[in-house]
Amino acid sequence: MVHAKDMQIDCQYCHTTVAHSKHAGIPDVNICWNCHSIVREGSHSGKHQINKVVDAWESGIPIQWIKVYNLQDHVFFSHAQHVTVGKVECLTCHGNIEEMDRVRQLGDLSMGWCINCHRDTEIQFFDNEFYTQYKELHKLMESGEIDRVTAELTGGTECSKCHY
Amino acid sequence: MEKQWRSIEEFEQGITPEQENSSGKTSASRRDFLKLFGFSVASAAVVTSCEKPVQRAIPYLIKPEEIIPGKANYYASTFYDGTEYCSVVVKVRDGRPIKIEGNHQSPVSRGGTSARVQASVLNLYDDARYKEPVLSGNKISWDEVDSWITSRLMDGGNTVLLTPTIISPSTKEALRKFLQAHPNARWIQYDEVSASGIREAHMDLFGTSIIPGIHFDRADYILSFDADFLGTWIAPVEFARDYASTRELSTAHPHMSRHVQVESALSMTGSNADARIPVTPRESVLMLGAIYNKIAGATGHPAIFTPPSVISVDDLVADLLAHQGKSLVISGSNDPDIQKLVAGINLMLGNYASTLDLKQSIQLKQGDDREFEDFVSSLSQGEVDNLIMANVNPIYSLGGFEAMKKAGFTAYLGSALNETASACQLICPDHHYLESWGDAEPVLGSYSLQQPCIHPLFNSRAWQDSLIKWAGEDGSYEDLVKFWWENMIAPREAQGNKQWWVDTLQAGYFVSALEPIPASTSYTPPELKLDPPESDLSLVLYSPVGLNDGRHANNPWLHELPDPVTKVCWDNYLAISPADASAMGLEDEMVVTMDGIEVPVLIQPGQARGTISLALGYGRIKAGKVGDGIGVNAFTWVRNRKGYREYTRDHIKLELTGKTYPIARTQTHHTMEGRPIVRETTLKEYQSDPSAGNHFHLEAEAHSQTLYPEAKFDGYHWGMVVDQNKCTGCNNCVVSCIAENNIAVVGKEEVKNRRIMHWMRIDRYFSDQPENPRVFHQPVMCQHCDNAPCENVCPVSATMHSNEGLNQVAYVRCIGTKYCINNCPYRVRRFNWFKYMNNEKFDFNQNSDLSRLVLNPDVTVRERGVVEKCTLCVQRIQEKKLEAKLEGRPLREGEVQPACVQSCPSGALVFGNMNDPDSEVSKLKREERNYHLLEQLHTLPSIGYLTKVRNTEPVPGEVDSHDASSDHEQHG
Repeated sequence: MVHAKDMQIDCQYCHTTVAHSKHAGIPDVNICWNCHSIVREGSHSGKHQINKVVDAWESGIPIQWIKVYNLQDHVFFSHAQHVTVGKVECLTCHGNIEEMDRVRQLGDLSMGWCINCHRDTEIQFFDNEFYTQYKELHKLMESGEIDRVTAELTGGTECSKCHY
Repeated sequence: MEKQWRSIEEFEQGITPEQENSSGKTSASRRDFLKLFGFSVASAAVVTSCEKPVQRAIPYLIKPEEIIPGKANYYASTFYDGTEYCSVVVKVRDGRPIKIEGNHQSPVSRGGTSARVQASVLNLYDDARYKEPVLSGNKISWDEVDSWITSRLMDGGNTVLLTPTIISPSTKEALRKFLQAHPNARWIQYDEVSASGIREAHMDLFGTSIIPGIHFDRADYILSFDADFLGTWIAPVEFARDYASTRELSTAHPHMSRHVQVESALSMTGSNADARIPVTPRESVLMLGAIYNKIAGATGHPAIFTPPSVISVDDLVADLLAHQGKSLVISGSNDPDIQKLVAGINLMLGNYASTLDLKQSIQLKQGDDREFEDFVSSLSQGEVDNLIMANVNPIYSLGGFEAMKKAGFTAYLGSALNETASACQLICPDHHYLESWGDAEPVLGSYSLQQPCIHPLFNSRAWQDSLIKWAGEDGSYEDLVKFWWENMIAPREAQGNKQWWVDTLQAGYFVSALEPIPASTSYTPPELKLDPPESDLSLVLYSPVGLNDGRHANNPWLHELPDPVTKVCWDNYLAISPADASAMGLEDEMVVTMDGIEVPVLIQPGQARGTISLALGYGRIKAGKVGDGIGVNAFTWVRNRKGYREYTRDHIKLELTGKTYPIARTQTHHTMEGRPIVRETTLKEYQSDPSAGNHFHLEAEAHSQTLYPEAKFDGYHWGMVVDQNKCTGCNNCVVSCIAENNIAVVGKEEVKNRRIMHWMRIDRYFSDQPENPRVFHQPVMCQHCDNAPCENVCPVSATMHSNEGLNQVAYVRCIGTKYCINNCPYRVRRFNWFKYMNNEKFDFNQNSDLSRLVLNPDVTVRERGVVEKCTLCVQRIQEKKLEAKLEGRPLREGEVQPACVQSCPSGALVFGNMNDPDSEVSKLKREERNYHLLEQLHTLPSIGYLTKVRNTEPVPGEVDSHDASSDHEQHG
């Protein structure tokens, strides 16, 4: 809430690899230290939470963050695919982080939760040269048989797109 | 609801035993108790499971700039283990090297690797590695090591430094520094499997002790005597690429080389030959002598004395004379006299200007057997005070090294446990090659760089660092490598240029311009008197494709790798010809004693009569938990003859023991039963009809009809083509697949139970006569059928077809009915009968925290009870698709390469998008040679195979009237 809402910090300022990698990236301590070398006291938790950052920086032992979104190991999920290619907003899956003091899991991370979105969500079919290879889909769009291309139509609900 | 009854008594009495009890004094019945108990247990479980187990995410304190969690980094480096060289690209994921890929830019290995190179990444995480310096069983610090050694060396005694062949220019400089600082020190190179015969022959003939560059790609006619040049001989990766390039056939280029192999044991190379002549070692020498004399006669040179050859060599000589300057004669023998003959034949044929290269000579195998023999005798006379050994294992490879006890002090510099190291007083752990700086010059003028891809896992130190330290010099080996490259190897204009160093390090190689040496044409024949070994039963020792000379014997991937020819894993054995076996009353798996050592017997078609063969590399006793006590040590029979190490023995006596010993084979049926599984033709037939041998394909296509709508794949339709004419059966793809896909090792017992987990196998078939069969190698992976029989029998839809033509398996959905396995005609699906991870009963690489570091995090480790199979490396497809999407472009041709394809040394596997008519795979599928496995079943596989073509008959207009079938008849 402090970071995202009060300070209006962009998610990607700290989660630096979200656009390039499957992992969004848990910020390493030196990213925290960019601000917290100066900001030593917070408006909500005082020094208590920030001291964890200070301790980590001074002791050289990184913070052990509690993972909130635990996706099972047998599921491949790429942030880059969703954020950069699919142009999905962070809050679509993570909820309104701006209003959370303590981050809570939004969806149940079940397969149905993923699949439903893949069925409904339109992909960037004409904006990305990658999809020029899908000639049949282009024909269907031209003929008006379909009015949009969802992730499902390019195979986004198939087993081996996420499980391998 | 009416009361239900369970027995006649209950019905009649209308009362149950429980009601009877409850009518008594106790208020709570046993059933109530169970209900309550059950509820409390269940509710406790529900309540506690509300909270998910807490998982921690621990980021870096300061993330290194080049590391992006979840994305792999690739570093060009060099594999050299003392005997084999390969330029590699190391895939490093989150700081851990997890896969070795071929470096396609390298002018030497050109993107290929071997099974040993692929498996080498697992050696990094070997539990048997030394973790800190040890002196007489006590851990000590490096400072103590240095002061201890320096005081020993300063005593002024004679010191010998024993190493394998060193091809690293910077290591040679470190050695020079060491030797300069210690004038009483000598440096000796020792090759377990030696090629000093070739060097000595060239010393005699050309005045330089070299192994010439051997260019199979320039040869139209290859005659090889006992040289397994595609398997393990000298530089197999380089040779395989060259050789395969002469086996590439298309309607546009319908020409290929002819390869004749003369050998005793059926080697992998022999199995690829167009014609193979099985002979005893004696006959081999006599044939070579006869060829020499005939060619000498034809070219006007004096003959040598040789006993007459029983086998006619007229055809071979005529072929050689018809291919002067475009032929190649090689021999795997280590006898300098034999190698002089070979070099003489090549000289007389004018091959030294073309197929053999005195300029860009091979730098491998520099060991001099005579020098080593002198050293052993001086050692046994007590003339060596300090013996320092680096990465050699003479106790194993000499079958005992008693003389070592005469040395006053012994030190070992090496990475992993072995027989020699554990007998030394001081052990100085060396880095694994993935942890260390280094360089190599495998071919004169062709350099390659080695860079560390991981921080050293243990308290080890590069052995070159030790040398520099013990020379009393400052600076590290890393500095030396950089200095040497920037100042000595860099071309003059780039010297001191930092950017040159960075660029070269990234590419991994550098080729310097060499001063040309005039091609030698004059030939002064040596005076030779051939002294061939006696006949009788001869033993032939060979380096197997998996273990080579045994230096990686603690690697379970290599042990479970089936031999390309016999398909045996986890053992070595005496291979004997079918005729000899029946004459001696021997059967498969019978145990015989040879010089008092028990060895199991295996009947091998193609083994020459009067010979038996045994693989080196087995019988290690101090290799680690995996390699100890597997097979027998064949080095016991290697002897020194006239100053060179000889890998054949005659007058072998076998005695029956009455015992049997089970051997694990991955393929127990060896013929195709007349079915067109591997389709073959001859070059002559192919030239007149490109679909020769493949007419069944046309027939199958004509009958290809279906009630169902044709499967259509929008976007990408992945497919692969296997060129059976280029595939040599070298097993590189098998290990590459194991490393990429986290495939479990199951051990000998489970292999015997036919539960091997390999996703990729190379089927080997024999045809023709058992004395000298034709051999076929056929890589088989999931065929990704468009009409897959496995898919429609799965009761839970765990296996389905993707919109890109992949046959996919969802492990989590699989319930293990194995219906799919039963319905797959290709037998490519594997069932996890056990949990192979973290299981004491499968104490291989997946049972230790250290060696699990090699696992690929992008591939699920499968649980017990599920089916798995080849996915065409779907993780790589998805990765590259994502990269293309991120960059907003279509995938490029050749961008996606499954693990097996990426490092195939012969380029036999081609993968790509079949929807693109211009892709390489589509072009090959249009070739007349293309067919599918069991295509009459109408499974419509995505994998195509190209007909095997053998150059068995001379091509019209090239050579006259010599028929390969006469080769067979000569000795049949």
